[in-house]
Amino acid sequence: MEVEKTETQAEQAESKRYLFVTVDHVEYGIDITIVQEIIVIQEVSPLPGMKPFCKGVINIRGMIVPVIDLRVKMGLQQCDYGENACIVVVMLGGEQIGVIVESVREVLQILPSQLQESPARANAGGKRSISSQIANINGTVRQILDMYKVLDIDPEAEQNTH
Amino acid sequence: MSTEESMLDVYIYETQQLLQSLDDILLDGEGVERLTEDQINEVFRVMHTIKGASSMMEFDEIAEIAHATEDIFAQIRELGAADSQWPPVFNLVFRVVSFFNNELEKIQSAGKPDGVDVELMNALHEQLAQMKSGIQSAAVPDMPAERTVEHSSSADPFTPHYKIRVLFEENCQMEAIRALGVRESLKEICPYIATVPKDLDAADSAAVIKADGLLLYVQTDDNPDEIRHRLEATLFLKKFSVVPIDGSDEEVPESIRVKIPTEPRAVAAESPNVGKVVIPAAAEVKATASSSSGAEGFAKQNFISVNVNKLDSLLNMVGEIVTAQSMVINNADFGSQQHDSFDSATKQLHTLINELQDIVMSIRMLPISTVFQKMRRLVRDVSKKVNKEVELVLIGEETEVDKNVIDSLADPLMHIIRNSIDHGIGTPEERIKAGKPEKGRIVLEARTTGSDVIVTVSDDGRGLQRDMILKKAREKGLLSKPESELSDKEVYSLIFLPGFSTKDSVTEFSGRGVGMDVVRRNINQIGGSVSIESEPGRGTTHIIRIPLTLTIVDGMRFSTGNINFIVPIVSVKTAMEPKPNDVFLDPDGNEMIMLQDQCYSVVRMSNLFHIDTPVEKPEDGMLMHLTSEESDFCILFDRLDGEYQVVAKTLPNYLSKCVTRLAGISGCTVMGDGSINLIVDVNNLKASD
Repeated sequence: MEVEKTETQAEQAESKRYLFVTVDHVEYGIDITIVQEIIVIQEVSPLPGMKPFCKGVINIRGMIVPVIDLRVKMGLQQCDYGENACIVVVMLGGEQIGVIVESVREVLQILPSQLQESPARANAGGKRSISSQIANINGTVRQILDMYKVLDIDPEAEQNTH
Repeated sequence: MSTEESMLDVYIYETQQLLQSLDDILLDGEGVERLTEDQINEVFRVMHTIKGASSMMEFDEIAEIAHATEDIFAQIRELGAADSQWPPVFNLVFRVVSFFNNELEKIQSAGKPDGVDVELMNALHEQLAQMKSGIQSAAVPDMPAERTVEHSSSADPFTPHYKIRVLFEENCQMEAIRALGVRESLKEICPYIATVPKDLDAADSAAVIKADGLLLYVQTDDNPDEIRHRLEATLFLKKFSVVPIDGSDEEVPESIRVKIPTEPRAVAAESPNVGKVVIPAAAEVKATASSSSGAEGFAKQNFISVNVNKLDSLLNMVGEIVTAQSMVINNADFGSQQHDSFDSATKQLHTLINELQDIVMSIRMLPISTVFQKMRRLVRDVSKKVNKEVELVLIGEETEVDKNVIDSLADPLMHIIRNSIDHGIGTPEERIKAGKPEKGRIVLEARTTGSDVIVTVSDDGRGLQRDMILKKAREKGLLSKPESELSDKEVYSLIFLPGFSTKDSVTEFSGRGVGMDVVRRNINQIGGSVSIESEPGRGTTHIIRIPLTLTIVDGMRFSTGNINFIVPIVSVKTAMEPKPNDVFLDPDGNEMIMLQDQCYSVVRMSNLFHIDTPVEKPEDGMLMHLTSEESDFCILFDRLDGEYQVVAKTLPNYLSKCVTRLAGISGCTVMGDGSINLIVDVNNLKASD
């Protein structure tokens, strides 16, 4: 009995919190330690020659932040934002990047035991896997997003100003 | 840990200052091939200070070289130097300064020096030996009658006494060491000195000095003005006073107090030769005291040193305030109604913020002479090395520029000047044959034009050789257009390409093929541009243009489709509405326009950046004639919006993955309405991705 207890305590210490958002009605988890803030959808300044997933840039308290449409980046068709849509600002590779999601649901604490490696995905049309893990919480399965992979950022890359 | 670090910082800073002033003295002196008495004393003092400070820091090599040089100058002070001795002395001291500078650099990067220049040390000793044994100083014009540096061994009771109080700047640190330095510098003219606190090496002496100042009781033959003179040279001195005092006054420490013989007291062990004391009449002592008694001297400097990071933060903050101000003033909430009191309040705000901006910018401004003076030394060294005679003329030294600019200009300027002397200016024989004066001339000039600083380096040498440059470029496969199509300006720009060099052999200074492209890159990094003009046979001029402020850009706003751009005004020559048929096609199908008998290519912003726009025909849009480092050209866009002063920000790196083209964009800015506009980088606009 006691052994079980300490195990759970140790596990609790190792559990991580994830922010769950929806994209196309499907829930995805984002490691909360990289989430800086969540802000309302606002007017975005366009850039010339933007790729389809990039909407432009916004100004957050003096910082210039690119805004990415997560739907499009994940390979889905572009569509209008609903009233619950907002921008989740994450910090990756030393820079802030804003990601548009359909809605923000909740923050859940997930134990390591509840995480599993995601099964090998069929390599549809050359798309790279964007999530490395899935969370199984009492039977409900949700994908955890690896934001580095989603946004094509090399975690080891050096930061240099151009 | 941090006190030790800052002690090192202070040592480095102060020594650099000393070496810079030493360089200046030497350069002036070498010109007339001797030093005045004041200059000799100054050199001696500098070496003495460096010796002292370096031993404190346990940099023994430096201390020893300083000592050897100090000895030479002690010799010169006593007995003067013959005309023939000055040139070798100058050379030696220049070598010593270079050695010290190198060691300082090592200290800055690795924390300690490691150079051991045995040859230099030997040369110094030899010079001293020669001077001692060799020619007696024939011409000793300004030297006073022999003045011994040795302390007199007998206490002359008639020598006046002075009480000196010295206060150092708060937070200057190392008070005890500075006190030691003051005592050392006075020792030469004061045979007897007693200090309060008595033991300067004691652990608590620094605290005492910090609280009460340093007291020195001295005895000297000299004019007390000499004491004041030496004190004034002390760094971090807040104020001092020199007051005559009766040698037998109770206040004077026993070790140097003048004793009255009727009191046969046992003498303190430290005081030398007290047995021979005779009473000085108090009146006599006072009579010999200087008339300017009780004069207080204040340190000449009224500066504080500030960490540059703090200034950077301050500057950033001011930039943010300018933007925030813009957002308040242009706030859409207000609509178009009149708001008189609001307007007058915002006007005042605007004035205040402009003033704040100016003041903050000026704090970071330094006169460009700090960079220019370094060039004097360089010209001397390089021209000696390649056996050419070169004169350097400096114009506009007092021009002030941002500290960043000063830091970034030194290397490019040095390289350009090296090139001029090495390649540009011919040998004396060549020059005479060409009908030029034997001495080559380099003019280094700085001037401001409102928003920019323009630094030009002109030499009267051979000028750039178009054929040689083309030949080399051809060999290295650097040509992208047929040679005949290249204007002279474009040919000269070829030397800025990486890997280019026309000199056949690699001299110590240049010709390694890494030169001008690095120069251009360094200058671009601070937002500036460099171009070359040349006349074969007459000379070459390098023109460096640097914006006065890096973050605040004076720009013209224009748009194409839904994208707004800002182009720095310095790059704009003219703007106009083209008439039908002004823009024509060249044989290759490129759009061109004729302006004042010159042909310029026309670049459509919509094409360059893949922007959708309803504007098809040139006459429906607008044209701007832009000038860049390499060439002039025109851009075609939709609408011109007006002149704006904006705060430039860098674009996030991630954007390189989000857009198809970023070349030609140097950054962005937040406009008053909250939208973000792109800032055009004219030099890279035409570059292909």
